[in-house]
Amino acid sequence: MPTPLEIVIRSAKEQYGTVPLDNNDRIAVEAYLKAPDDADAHLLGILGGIQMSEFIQVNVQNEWNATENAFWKKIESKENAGDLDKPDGWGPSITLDLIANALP
Amino acid sequence: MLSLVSERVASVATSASRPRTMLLTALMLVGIGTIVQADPVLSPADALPAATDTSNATAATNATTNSATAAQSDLASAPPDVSKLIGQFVNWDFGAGYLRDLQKNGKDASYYLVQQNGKQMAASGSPFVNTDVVAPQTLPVPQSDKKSYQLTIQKGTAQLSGGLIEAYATSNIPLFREVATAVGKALQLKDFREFRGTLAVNSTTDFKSTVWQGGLETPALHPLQFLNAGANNGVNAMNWTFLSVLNENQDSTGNTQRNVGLFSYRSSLGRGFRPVSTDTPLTPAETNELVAKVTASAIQTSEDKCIESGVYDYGKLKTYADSIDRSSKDQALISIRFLVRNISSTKIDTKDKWESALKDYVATRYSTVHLTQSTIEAWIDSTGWYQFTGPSTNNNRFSNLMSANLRYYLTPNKGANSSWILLRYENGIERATPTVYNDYLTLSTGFAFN
Repeated sequence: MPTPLEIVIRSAKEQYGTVPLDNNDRIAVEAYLKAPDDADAHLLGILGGIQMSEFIQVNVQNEWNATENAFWKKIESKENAGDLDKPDGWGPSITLDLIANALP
Repeated sequence: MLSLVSERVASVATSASRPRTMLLTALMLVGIGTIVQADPVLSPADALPAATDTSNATAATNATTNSATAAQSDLASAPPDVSKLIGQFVNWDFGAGYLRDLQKNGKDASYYLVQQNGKQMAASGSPFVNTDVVAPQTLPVPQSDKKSYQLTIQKGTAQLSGGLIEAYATSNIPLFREVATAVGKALQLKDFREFRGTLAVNSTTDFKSTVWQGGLETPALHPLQFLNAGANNGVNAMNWTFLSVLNENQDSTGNTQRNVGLFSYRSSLGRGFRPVSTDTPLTPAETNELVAKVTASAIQTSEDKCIESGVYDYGKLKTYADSIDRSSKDQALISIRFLVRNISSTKIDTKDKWESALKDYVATRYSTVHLTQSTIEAWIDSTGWYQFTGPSTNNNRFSNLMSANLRYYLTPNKGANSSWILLRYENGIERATPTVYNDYLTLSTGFAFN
């Protein structure tokens, strides 16, 4: 059973085809996706603060406007819990912890 | 938004109008100061704080002229609300650019735009002003992808009817999703699970000329994902493509109604470079204070819920974390919920481990600087269609439009809308205007005072 964070990160990677642009955050995401169960509190601390804009990289607000609904649908389908409310602060600068916390 | 789209459409009939020179850039920069100072909302007393704005020489000079009057009123009244004044003064966007038409006999053009609080104050030279010089976050949806739903009503954009209506919707269709899921599983192509239905209507406001378009499109595909394979995720470029099959019904004044079948695509490939943080980093002391505060609160709150008579109970902790309001804005509660639900229970199966993990998590979460804005963005957008049935509008079965863009942010740490230079090359034909061929290079710049 994937964790909420894993659902969010895999959905982002599938939607935009990328991992974060920043090197440290990219390495954290790579390590997490390889072994999510091994994540310790330090790694989760890094991942929780990553913003969606790091995945999008280019024309961030435009891409977000055009794809945010499809991205959320992806999360919902992975969560398999029907329609969910998007979290407060929903936008390209929202952090992964807030998205993950919006899942039931 | 409406005005931006409106100008874009209106420009189709008036391309390459009113050539100007790049001197406009400098002229408009000076002009900003004049416009700001001339804001009729501000009284002389209100204008006084602007004299401290050294970035605006014109404002400073004019404010000095008003200082005698302002000083008198300051003696008798409370100082003006500076934050309110800053809001009135600085929420301006300015952009200008130059277009080089590469076609034989093509006309070069310049363009500029000034807007306050999103309201257009002055502009010239559409359509490029809309796509190239507006702050990135206020651009309309890019040509390469669509929102789920959009309705646009444009006034004064059609010569005969006076306006245009444009509406479209994209949504998942359950039946196709089920079929596609089965096909996707059989072929091990998980991306094919979520086909979207599309419906678009374009019409003049008198409904005498209409185009209906309906069909199916794929979710985001990543045909160039191999670029991101290998060590360090390859080039780590954002890339996606949508494919669709459509039937288009065209009914225009004086013409026979006709149907055409289309295959179309929209795609984008892009990457950012040199990311910087747009947040103002906390000082070490501020960070320590925040971490101590959040950690203490989180430990106290969670222990109240999962420790009874000094006995730690992970099951209770998990139940409590799941029960925390999903929309909570309390940093301690957010931390508890996130950490417990995403970490293996074996890592926090004792009271000491829980407290240690919580401290480690909060310290990392609130002291790590994340880099969120690229200094340089390079991307290519492309759209196109292949007409497989019906008479072709431009005698070509296949047509497409490609744009290559390079944007440099002068002050990336202030966000994507602060200041930038954009070089764009565009070539090809847009579906909305299948008889107009584009081949041009633009150089634009934009500044926002927010």
